[in-house]
Amino acid sequence: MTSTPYLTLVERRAEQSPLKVLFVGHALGGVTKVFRRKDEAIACAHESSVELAIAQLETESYDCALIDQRDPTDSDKLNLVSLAASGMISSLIVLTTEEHAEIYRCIPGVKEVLEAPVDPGMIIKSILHAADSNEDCGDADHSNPDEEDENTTAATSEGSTETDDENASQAELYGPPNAPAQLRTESQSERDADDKKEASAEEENADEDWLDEELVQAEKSNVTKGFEASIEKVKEADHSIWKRFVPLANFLYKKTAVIVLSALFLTFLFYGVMIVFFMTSTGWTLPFELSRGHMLVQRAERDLGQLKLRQNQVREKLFVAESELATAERNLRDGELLLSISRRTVEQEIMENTALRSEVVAHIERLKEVINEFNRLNKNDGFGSDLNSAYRKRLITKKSLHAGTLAVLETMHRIAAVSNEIAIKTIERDRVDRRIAYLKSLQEEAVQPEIRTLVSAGADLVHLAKEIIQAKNTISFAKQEIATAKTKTTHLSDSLAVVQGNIKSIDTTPVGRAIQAPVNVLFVPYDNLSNYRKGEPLYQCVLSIIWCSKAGEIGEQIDGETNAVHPLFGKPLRGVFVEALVDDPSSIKLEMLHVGRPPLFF
Amino acid sequence: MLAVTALEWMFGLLVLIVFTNRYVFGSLLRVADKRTEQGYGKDPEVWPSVAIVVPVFCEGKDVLETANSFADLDYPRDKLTVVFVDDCSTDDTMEYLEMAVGMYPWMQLRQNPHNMGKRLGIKEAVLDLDTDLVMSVDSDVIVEPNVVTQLVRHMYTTGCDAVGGCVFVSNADQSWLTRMQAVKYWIGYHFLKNLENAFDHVMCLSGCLTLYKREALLAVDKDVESRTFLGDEVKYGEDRFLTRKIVERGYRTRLCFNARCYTKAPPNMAAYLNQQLRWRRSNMIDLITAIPHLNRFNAFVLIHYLSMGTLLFFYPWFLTSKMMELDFVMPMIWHALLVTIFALAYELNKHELPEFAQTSGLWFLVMAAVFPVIYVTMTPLALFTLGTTSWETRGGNKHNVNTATQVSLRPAVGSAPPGGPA
Repeated sequence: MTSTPYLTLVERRAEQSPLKVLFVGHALGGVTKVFRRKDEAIACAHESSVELAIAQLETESYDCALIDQRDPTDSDKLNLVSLAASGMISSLIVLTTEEHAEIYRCIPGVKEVLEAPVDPGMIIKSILHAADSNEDCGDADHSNPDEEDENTTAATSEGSTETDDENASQAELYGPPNAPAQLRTESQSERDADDKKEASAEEENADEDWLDEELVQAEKSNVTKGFEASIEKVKEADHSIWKRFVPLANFLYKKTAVIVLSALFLTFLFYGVMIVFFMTSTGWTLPFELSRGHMLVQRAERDLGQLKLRQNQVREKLFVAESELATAERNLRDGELLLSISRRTVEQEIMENTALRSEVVAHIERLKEVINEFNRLNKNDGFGSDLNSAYRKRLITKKSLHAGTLAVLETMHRIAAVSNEIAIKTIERDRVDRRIAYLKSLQEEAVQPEIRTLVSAGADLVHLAKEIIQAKNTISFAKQEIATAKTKTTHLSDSLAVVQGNIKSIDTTPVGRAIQAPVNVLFVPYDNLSNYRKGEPLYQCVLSIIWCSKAGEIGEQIDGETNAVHPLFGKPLRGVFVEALVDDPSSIKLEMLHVGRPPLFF
Repeated sequence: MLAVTALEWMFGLLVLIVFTNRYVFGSLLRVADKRTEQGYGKDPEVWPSVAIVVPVFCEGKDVLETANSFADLDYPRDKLTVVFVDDCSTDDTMEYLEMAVGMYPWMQLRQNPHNMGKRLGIKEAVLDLDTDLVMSVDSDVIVEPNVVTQLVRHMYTTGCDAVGGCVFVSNADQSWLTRMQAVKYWIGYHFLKNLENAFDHVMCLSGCLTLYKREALLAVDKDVESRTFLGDEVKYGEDRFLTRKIVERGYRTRLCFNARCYTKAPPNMAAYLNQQLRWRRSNMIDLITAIPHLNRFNAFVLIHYLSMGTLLFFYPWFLTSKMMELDFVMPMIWHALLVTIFALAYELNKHELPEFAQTSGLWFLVMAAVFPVIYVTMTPLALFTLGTTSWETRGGNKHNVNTATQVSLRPAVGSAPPGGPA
């Protein structure tokens, strides 16, 4: 902290005995303030007139006298000349107006003349300079106060030097911190002497000080305004940055203290009220805005997603089952068609084979008739005998006999061929019979649930049995598939209905609706749950519990336990959500709402 | 969150430092320090002159007990001066003082010209006295007969410049508060100052009972006179301030465990809170104003001093944060554990005290609840009322009444030295 030249001088003085100044004039109040602003640097006495001052100087010596002669009506000018000439005071400073300054400068014995308005600092500087001049016994180097200012300023600017000087002076006064007790006692004894001197001076001036105070009050009316302003300037000039900062800091500290302490008091009070409230009330609730970020909503969203996935899976399976049913039904139809075709084929085959058999039988009969007729005609070898007879009778030539015999032989041969043909036809008839039997058995078996026994038949008819078997298998398998598909479809339809029901129920809950858009809910601890019924009024309050107004009403309770943190105690709480049907959406952003009634009844 | 964790760690570190310094190092140093032993010290070749200065303000008839205890002092009477300095009491204290001085004419009575506070009252008296040593004694204190002798012997033998005595409670069984405080005072003088005492750097010698070399007092009288906080005159905590200033000047300060006195502890909550508020203010302001002079302290004492000062602010913060979470259990358990140990220690050692200063150590368990509450409430209140100009001892704020007019009309009483303000 830098000090002004004046302060440097005053501080130096302060370490010594106080400078005794006699002030003569009317502006005592301001001047004494200036002199007293540094403790015991300057001891000021006061006389209202020069005449009285002369009387005072006869009884007591002073380092300096300051005569206020700014008032032109002052009649003390001659007395001032007397005082200057008397040599009672070595340093006489006159404060006067500009027009009279030259007059006073001409008075022998007047050390300095200050022209009003004067920088009050100059008053102090002049006094201190005068005192220094006295101590220095007229040292010419210090005759100009401005020069001293510069010197002092230079000295002051050397911070380290100043610090050393301070330390030195402290050491002189108190001794070094760790100095032996004796050394401290010696330095202290000097200081004691100074202190005693100060004390005695204070005691002597004690009564005067009381009088001074009265005089200050009495003479305030005579104080020149310009001088008072100057005094204020002195204060400003003399105070270092810190000293100027002190009142501001004091002001700020006290204002801050009032504010902070009031805030703390109110905080403690409010905290206490809130503790009591939470320990006694069961009507409070914590409003929440359920949206996609909330855990419950996330859980619902996850559940809903799973349900929809499940729904899609069921639908997909149902579709597959229905497709399988359709395929089975088509297979059934195909099987039945194939069976029908096969059966008609069998019937056709039977009919054809029956017709064929009839033809074969008729053919055989015809052949047998041919043979029988031939045999009847050729009974006992009639044709040969006839020929022979005719030949012998020569009815016929031999050639004709031979030709006739050959013809009979040929006919016989042909009859043999017919017999063969009959045999063949008989075989054929038997074959046809077997086919018919096979076909009939096939026809009979085809209407049975399953084919058990078939008579044998030719290879050319095996495919018919195979086709019928395949058709019957297809029908049977298709029927099974249809039954399975129908069962599956029924189950899947039921499942789909359940899943769709679940989805619908989640979608209609507040949590489900919160997936689409935010939903206002209230967290209700289990302890408070008994007060929460649908339709109960909700209240919002200023500062949580006072000045309440209706905010809405209670909605449906949301299933499922949820957790929240106690608004004051910070402990985890268990409870449930209920829907809040609020009139003003902003109320949901409050820290707390109340159900039933305002907590403090207003 | 990170900042809060760092603060909690810092709080833990501070507690560790303070706890270790006070109860571990302090106790070890006390055991190792022969100067703390009973019977330590020798008589000086010539007994120095001692002035007992008793600043009085609205103390009532209790001053009679104090005066009576002075009458029993075993110190050479020709070397002993007792000066009661009334700081313009507004009750009947002056009448009782006059009565005391009438009973014991060798005692003196002075009255300040106006209410100027304890420190200035002492200073004015010291400036008028020419004794070698000055002993400051509170007006509600009862001293043991050997107290001056013990303090002088200790000062002479150890070569220190200010010696404090141990202060215990004289009204130990008056109320639950005084019972609690009786234990607390005992703990305070058995545990809390040992580290500082070992380094001859006791930072607070109680105004109840302290013997100063006169030169040490004079060396700091300017500081005492100009003691302000942001421009406001500070009157409370003068003993702490005075001791610190003495230490700053390089003088040595100690406690003498053989010199004991007994003071009246606040018997009701209002007075107790007032006292706690005053002590906290004085602690805070002492810490703040000591910052420019920290380099003058012993390094160990400095660490302890700063830790204590910082903890003064941290501890309420810690408690408040726990309170806001309603996390009372663990802090209460720690407090209860600590006070139980102290109560046990007191119970085992209370026979050292006279009967009127004894109480049951169980009463100290109340401290587990009172201590945190006092810290949480008083610390912020003290922090923001440092600029008060009140003594805030008995009598509250009424002492601020300027009684200059009354004083000027009141004649000097007793054998006040010539030139005194009265």
